[in-house]
Amino acid sequence: MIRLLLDADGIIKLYRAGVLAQVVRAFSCAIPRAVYEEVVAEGKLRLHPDADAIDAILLGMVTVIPVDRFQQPELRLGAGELAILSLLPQEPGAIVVSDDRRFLAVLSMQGTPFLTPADILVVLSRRDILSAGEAREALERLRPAIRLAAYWDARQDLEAGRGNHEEE
Amino acid sequence: MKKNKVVPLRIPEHLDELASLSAQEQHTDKATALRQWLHQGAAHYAVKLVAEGRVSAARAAELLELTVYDLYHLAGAYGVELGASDEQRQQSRALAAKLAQGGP
Repeated sequence: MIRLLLDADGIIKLYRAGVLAQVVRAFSCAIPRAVYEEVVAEGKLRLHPDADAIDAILLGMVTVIPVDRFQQPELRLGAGELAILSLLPQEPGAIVVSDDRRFLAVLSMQGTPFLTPADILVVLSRRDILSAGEAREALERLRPAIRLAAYWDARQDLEAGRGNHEEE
Repeated sequence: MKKNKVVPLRIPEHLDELASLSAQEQHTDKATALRQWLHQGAAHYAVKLVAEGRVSAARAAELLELTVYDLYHLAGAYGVELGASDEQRQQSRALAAKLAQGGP
């Protein structure tokens, strides 16, 4: 089974696309405690409306792993991303879900595989976890949160997969 | 508790006058008006750094004492697109294509 490690960016964008629940059901997902704090605890504290709904989706479906905080200020990453980096040696084969350019640069340098939230939609569609129509709707919801180029890439990839899959 | 630092700052007279005007209109003092400008400038700069991949959104949020949600909101307000670079997107797409075929 595919193992996903999600950062704050990945969680929030998948939620905004409306597919976070499908992702945590379809894949084995884990987050470090620091990511939970960034998204849920801090979000609730500052009354962000998404935080409660995200918490309800994560509850019981996503493993929250306590990770000793390690400091690497030169990487210019947040606590959650640093915690993911420290988790990676214990999670061989895990794929990180993020759309954060700085974090992806570090992952790329380390050779760690990653998926952006837009590409998660493509995977969900091709694996028939989402219908073509559902994936397209999710991409439209995600559109304001991602780069325009990422939107068009994903749209093209979703269109390319339509031949073999159910239609809207 | 927030740590504050005293920084002696030399500013041009015309900005000082503008700060006085801002303070008057906002019913606050000049130092507060200048701090507000500093926060606004810092937020804009941080969003630019995130867009360029020089700092992560989560780290920028920490430095600004905001949440990641707030950071995305700021980026939207400034009209700045955040997200993977073209090269990173191609790496992600390649993996998505592999996973779509049932791998790994």
